[in-house]
Amino acid sequence: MRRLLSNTVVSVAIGLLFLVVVAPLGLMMRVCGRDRLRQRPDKAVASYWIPYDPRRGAGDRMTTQS
Amino acid sequence: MYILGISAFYHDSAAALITDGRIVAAAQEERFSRKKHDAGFPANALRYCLDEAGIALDAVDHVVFYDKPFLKFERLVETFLAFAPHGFHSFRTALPLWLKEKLFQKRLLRRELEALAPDVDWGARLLFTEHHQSHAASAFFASPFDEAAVLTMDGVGEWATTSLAHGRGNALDMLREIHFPHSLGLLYAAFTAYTGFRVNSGEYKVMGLAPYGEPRYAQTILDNLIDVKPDGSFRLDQRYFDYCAGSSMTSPAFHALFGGPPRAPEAPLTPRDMDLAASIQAVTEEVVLRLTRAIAAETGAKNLCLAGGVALNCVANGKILRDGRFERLWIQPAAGDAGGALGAALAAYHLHRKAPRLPLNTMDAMQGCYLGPGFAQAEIEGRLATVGARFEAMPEPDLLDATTTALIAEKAVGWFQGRMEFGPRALGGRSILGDPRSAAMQKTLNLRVKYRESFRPFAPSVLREDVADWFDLDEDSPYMLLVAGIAAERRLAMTEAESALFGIDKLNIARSDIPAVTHVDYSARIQTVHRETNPRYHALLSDFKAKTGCPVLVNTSFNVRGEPIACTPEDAFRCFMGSEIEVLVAGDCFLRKEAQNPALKLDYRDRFDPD
Repeated sequence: MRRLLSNTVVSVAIGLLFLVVVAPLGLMMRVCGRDRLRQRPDKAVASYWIPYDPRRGAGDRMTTQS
Repeated sequence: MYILGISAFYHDSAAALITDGRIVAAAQEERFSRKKHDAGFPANALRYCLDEAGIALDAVDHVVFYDKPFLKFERLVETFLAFAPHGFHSFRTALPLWLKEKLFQKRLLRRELEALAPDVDWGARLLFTEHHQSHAASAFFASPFDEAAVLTMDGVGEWATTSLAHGRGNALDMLREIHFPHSLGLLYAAFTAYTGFRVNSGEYKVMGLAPYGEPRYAQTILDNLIDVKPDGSFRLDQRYFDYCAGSSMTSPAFHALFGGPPRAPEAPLTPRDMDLAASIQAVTEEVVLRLTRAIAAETGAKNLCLAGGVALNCVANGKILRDGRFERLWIQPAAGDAGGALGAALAAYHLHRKAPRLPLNTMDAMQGCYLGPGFAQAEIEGRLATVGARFEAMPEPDLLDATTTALIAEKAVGWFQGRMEFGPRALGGRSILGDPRSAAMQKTLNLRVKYRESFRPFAPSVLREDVADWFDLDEDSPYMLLVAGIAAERRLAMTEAESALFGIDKLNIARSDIPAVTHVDYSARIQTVHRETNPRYHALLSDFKAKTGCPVLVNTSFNVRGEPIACTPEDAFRCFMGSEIEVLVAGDCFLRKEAQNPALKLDYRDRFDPD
């Protein structure tokens, strides 16, 4: 019973989070023209390769999860 | 210095141990847990690696996880933002999972490690490599090259789905990448799902199905789904896919474009499915060749290394080789995520600890890929006796002679020898062998031994010395990662009536001197066998050649459909008793099916979920 209750609370919280934060924020970002996933092909560019930031893959960065 | 690499929590968990840069052991968790594609923490594989080295966990200097959880979470959040309010369902499944464990991977790993070695501050010894850095490291640091261009392609890691790196000595510089959701692996997976196969394991089936079809849809794919630039870089049009936020791979627009819903699993295969398979295979080859050609032209590199799941597409690999832009090509045999464990360990050793490479081996650092558990003869005998097996131990010449005789009598032979292979392929350590000259062998093995679809061809093992006499290839292909044609003089012309046969009926016609390993397009997925890495398998092929003139055997993995490949002698015996394998050769032990206690027979046919 307690487990069922806590599952319900979690589900409601996740629903609210999605409805109140994720969905409006996502919609707003898209209205402002943000397209982080670059969802459509772009005929104008010559290449879709993205240069790698060399700081990211450096050996001393391996201690972090990001 | 001991470094342990771990891949886990997505699919194909594995552990790999290196000491001072040398690979000591590597194995996938599924082989121990007997759960195909087991994604849990690889506790058994880890314990095995330590046992192989004869050390306790606290002697390990670094434990390296093969990707970066925070970057992956960022990608997840960005994806939800990009698709909301679509995607609530997957948000509801993913978020609790992330909040509960994945986001706290470091803590989770620390806890798992502390359970095994409580007195160590694991937080200080834990390292994280990027997913594609792990793949690239597994491809370059295990290769026989001092310098190479390194291309990795898979479904997705954190953000990257494709990456290019430059390796030289102990340095490996990541140069550029293509980001999620634009992924060659996911595009192939979309067609795998659409043609009714399971994503992450059915991709081989699509590749095997492709030669039956015509690439009628290739242009449709290039015109609509994927935009490929001249340098091979690409973007997918997300209107046609549903994997970002939805619960399936393809969207209604995809189904409309190709004229119908996905094939239901286990529904009959139609010519249309074959054409779809041929089309996605053709497009994949086109993209991969554009990538490798541009990389060759731009970098001037003589050597190319590949890893990532897409590098298991051995048909595409064969085309890169024949395209001739690179002098040499080396592909990490554990190219999928399991190999990330090995790459993570190698990356930490060379990039974090800045240790130099070992002197280069003439072949590579993988030791034939025989990096898993091995069993001494006494142990094999003891274990077999415990499960009630009846066997005869023989000296090697008699053992090889008896095995060859069984093969010539068209028996399916289980071959359990030496250390288990790391990665998805069986390479003569945990294999089922057959006579490739037999026209019935392909069908027999598929339907009566492996219990799998009859359209799937088998792969040949061939003596390295003889490969050019039988195939259009004169290179090392020790890991079964290159597809090439059957040599012209070994091919048989088909009659007009035979040529007119369609689809799978065509596979049953003998199209060469070795029909069991000849696909409908006269291609074969070749494993060259080398005396240096597997002397006993080499000796068996030599014996078979001496008696038949043919240095080739059918080699398929030692399992039935849906079952992980055998690891222990008991696994091998169980599979032997549960299928129509007629002879089992385990170490020096020779087992005949008819000599076994009938009460030990198992019904294996429906024991495993279809893969």
